[in-house]
Parts: sequence; C-alpha cells; structure tokens
Amino acid sequence: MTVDQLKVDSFTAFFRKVEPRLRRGLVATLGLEAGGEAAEAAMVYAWEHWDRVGAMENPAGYLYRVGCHSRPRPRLARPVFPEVEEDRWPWVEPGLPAALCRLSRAQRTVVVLLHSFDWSVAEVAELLGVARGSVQKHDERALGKLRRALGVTR
Amino acid sequence: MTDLLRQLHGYGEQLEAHMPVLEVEDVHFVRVGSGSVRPVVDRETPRQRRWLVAAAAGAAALAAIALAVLLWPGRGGDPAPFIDDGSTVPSTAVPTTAMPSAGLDTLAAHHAGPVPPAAVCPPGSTPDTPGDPGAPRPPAPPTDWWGASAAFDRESGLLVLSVSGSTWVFDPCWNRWEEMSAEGPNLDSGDSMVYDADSDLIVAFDDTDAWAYDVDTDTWTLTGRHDSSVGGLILYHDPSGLIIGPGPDLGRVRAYDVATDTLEALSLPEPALSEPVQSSFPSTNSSRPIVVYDPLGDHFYLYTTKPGGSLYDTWGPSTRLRATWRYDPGQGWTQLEITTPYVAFSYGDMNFGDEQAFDEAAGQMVIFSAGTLATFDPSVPEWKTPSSAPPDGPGFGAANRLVYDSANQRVIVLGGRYRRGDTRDPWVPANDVWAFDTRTTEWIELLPAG
Repeated sequence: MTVDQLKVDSFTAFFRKVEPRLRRGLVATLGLEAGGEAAEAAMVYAWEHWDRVGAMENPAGYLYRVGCHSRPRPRLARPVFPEVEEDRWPWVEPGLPAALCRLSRAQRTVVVLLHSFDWSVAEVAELLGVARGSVQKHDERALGKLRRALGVTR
Repeated sequence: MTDLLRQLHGYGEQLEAHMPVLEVEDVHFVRVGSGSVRPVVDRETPRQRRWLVAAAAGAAALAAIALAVLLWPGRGGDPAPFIDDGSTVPSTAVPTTAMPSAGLDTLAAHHAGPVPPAAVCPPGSTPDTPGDPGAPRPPAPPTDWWGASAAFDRESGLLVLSVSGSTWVFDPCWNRWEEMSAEGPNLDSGDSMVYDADSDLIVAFDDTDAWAYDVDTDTWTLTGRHDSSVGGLILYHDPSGLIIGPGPDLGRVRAYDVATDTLEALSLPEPALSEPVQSSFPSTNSSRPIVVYDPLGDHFYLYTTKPGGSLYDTWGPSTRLRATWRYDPGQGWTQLEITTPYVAFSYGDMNFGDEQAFDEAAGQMVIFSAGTLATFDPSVPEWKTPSSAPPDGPGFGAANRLVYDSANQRVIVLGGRYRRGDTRDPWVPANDVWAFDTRTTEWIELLPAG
C-alpha cells in the first residue's frame, strides 16, 4: 500500500493548527501530564479516523472529548497540577494548584483556558461544545470559589 | 495579595513553560505490513501508551474469569472515542449484552468493598430546628410531573439533589441547602440516583448514561454509556455492592457495578416479577416500582396495587387488590398473606417510584404520598397507617420523594407538587423539607416553604 501523501499533508496541516489548542484544553481539564498524554492519544485517534474526523465541523471539540475519555479507569482520580515555582512567579499563591483541583471539571477547564491561557469565551465554548453563557457561568463560579479558597477579595 | 486574575495568568506562564510538546515531526508515518499507514509517536518514555497496556491487560484478565460476559460500554450515535494502537485492540468499542445470570442469587457472587463510616451530626448542630426559609434553595423542576432526583450520601451525611442539571446538597444537621458547583446530567422522571456505599459515590442513571457524583470533590463523571437505557436502577444492595432494579423491560432485573461500569441482566425464577410490577404501573416508559431493600434482613419488599378498574381512577381505591411481596434470594418472590393498606398516589395509582424508603433505624418500610402514610414492619410482618402529616406539613401531593437520613436516623420527605385546594387548583411545587421519625411517628419540619 502506498502512502496517501494528500492524506498525510492534510493531517499534518490539521495537526499543526489544532494540536496546540487541544493540548491546552486537555491540560486545563486533566492536569499537566495527563492532559499531554490525552492530547497525544486524541491525535493518534484522529489519524486513525482521519477520513471521518477531517470532515467534521468541529474536529477539535470532538477530539477534546476523545482525549477526556482516553484516560483509563478509575476515571475519578483528581487532576495533578505542578506546584508553583515561587522563585519565578512569586505573586502566585502556592495554594492555587490545589484550589484548581477542587473545582469541578468544567469550571477548572474554563477558568484555566480563559485566564491562564488567554482564550476567548467563544474559543472555550467551541472546544467544550457549550454555549457562551455556560462558559461565563462556569467562569463566574470558578472565580468565586477560587477567591474564597485563597482568601482573595479581587 | 495579588489579584486572582494575575495569579492565574502567572500560573499559566508556568504551565506553558512545562507544557509537553508534540511536534508533527515526532510522529513517524510508517507502513504496517500491508495495512494502513499510521502515525507512531516517537517517544521513549515510561509513560508511553502504558495506559493502553494496562487497559488491555485488565480486559484480558477479566475475560479469562469464568463469570457472566461483561457489557463493554460504547457510545451510541457518535463513534466511540476509543484509542486504537493498531494491534489487538479494536478501534471502536462494541457493547455486548451480558448473558442472563441465575436470578438474583448471582448477587452472592459479588462482594461489596469496605464501606466508609456513616456521618453523624457534629456537636452544636441543630437538626431539629427548622432552617432559614429565606435561604437559597433549589429551583422547582421545569415541568409539572417530573421531579428532581435525590439520594443520601451516607459518608458525608448530605442529601444530594439533582434538578435541571444543577446539583444541590441538603445538610440535615443544619437544615440548609447549598448549591454545588458541578453541573451534572439533566435528570427527569424515569431517571434515578442512588448512593453506592462501597464506592462512596452518588450514581445516577440518565437514559443510556451512567454518571457518578463525588460529593468530596464536587465532580460529576460520566462513567459509562450503554446500548440500552439504564433507567430504573434504583437500589443499592449492601452485600454485593451492586445497584439493582428493573430496567425498561418490566420483569428484567439488572445489576450495575459503578467501579467497573458493568451492567448485568439477571433472569428471575418463576413466577416472574413482571406481573406484580406491571400491575402497579400505568403506561410509562420507565419502571419505578414501590420497592425497598432491607439491609437488616437482606430482603427486597415490593408494594403493589392491582387495579380492578380504570388505571387512572382518581376517586378512590375502587376494586384494587393491594399486595406486599418479599424477595428471598434462592426462593424468589413470595406474596405475604397480610393486609396491605391503600396509599393514594397521584391520580390513584400513578406513582413515580420515590415515594418510599427503608428506615434502617426503625427497620421499617415507609411510604408517603398524597397525604397517606403507611409503614411496614417486616419482622412481624405488618402494615400500619400512622396519623397523617400535621396540617402545616406535607399534604396531598404527587411525586414527593423519601430519602433515609442515616445521620439523624429518620426519613426525609421533600419535593413533589401539591394543590392548595381542590382538584381544580393548579399544582404548586413543594419546596419545604420534612422528616418523619418512624419510631416515634413524629413529623419534624426541617425547612419551611419559601
């Protein structure tokens, strides 16, 4: 069987465009290491099913769900975020990573994408497959919980 | 202290600095024999695909065990997001149907894991003092008949309520509601929630989806998607650690294990359960019998009515034949030769499946609906109809639900709809919360209507 070069080229272009954002979305949801692995698994899946994935209207959103479900059971393990490197980011509270882990999955994903990775509401909504209003609601609740957890008033 | 948004931005910089990077050049396109070309991630790390190996090894181990065939979850509609390494694991998970087991005795083949201790109210708490009626409480369900779903988390001592996709908990030690942050499944009538003790999770069933809610982390997780509805699963069986109940096909009992997301169909010995269960239901697409599990005696008890006239006879029991059934593992269902009282569900016989609970402290089954209260003591066995609720308490209504509160050892009654006057008045959502102490037959107002 010969290599379908057109298929390879189209997938490569898709990979370079989508993978970075997909990876950040999954890191926000699953944690740094697990999110990276999930993104890797999702892109392999995309290639395996490229004929179908490439034709989707929102392949990134679909692959995000693929990545979320790529984790083995038990599904209910908490995400892991690295400790704050206080020498480089002294203004970040050491308790922030743990507080992020205590958010619900949707809230954590939204607040990290919006405020840590500077995504727009529309971009987050597209990845998660929800309405923009839902994103804003998750953000509002997440920020409230984080402020209470960290004792921050603003 | 630094502004939160600046902190989040700074932490994002740290995550970016350590973000795992996958370049497309890292992905080699290789020929695999005469098969399709596929990418192989060129990375030699201990993490590489280990979860696939673990999953495959676990699947092989399970398949080798001589038990009933497991039902592998798959995704209906959209293709299954199952990762394929191109070797032996198929790219799309195909659900299989479990073979019927030898009745509910198969529950004996499963064994519950360690169960966390039940919470008790702390010193200084006020479980018998009504909470603040002005405090926030859950919204009324969106439609007239379909109530919220509720279950009591024994380990945390909280009643968990799911309504319109939002999650609330009621703390019976302080009699107050708290809205949780997690957005869960949008449950409605026919869906159910139950506390799975050995996994310490609230498990909810939404059509073909099984969900799990962890109160401690305030997180909903989709644990599995099945090829048929998992509605109707309603009881936690303590010895086996499984959740059981009739499915959409009346008479077909099934068992679910949240830890492994396996759904197992169980066949019943004759006479089948279908006859008494069918007689207690109007035509509906959900199966919600009035049945409880007695953990003290390891029995199931079913309350049923068999209408002799119209199924929707509103004006009285008519020629109904009411009966009480007990299930004994190994012996099947037995109709108890006792007088079974009439309980007025909505429109006579239209129950929603949550109007009952087993009070473990009293060792009795409690049914309350439409102002009718009935208690069943299996140790006698005997039904009683204690005095009805006080005038200010839960009165004539529909779709209220009973949940056993292990922290205070009494039954919580909440939810549903009621009419202020006669049948010409509109239904009003009930948002007060009451408790019934089966041992003293006392009603306690936990939260006035607001």
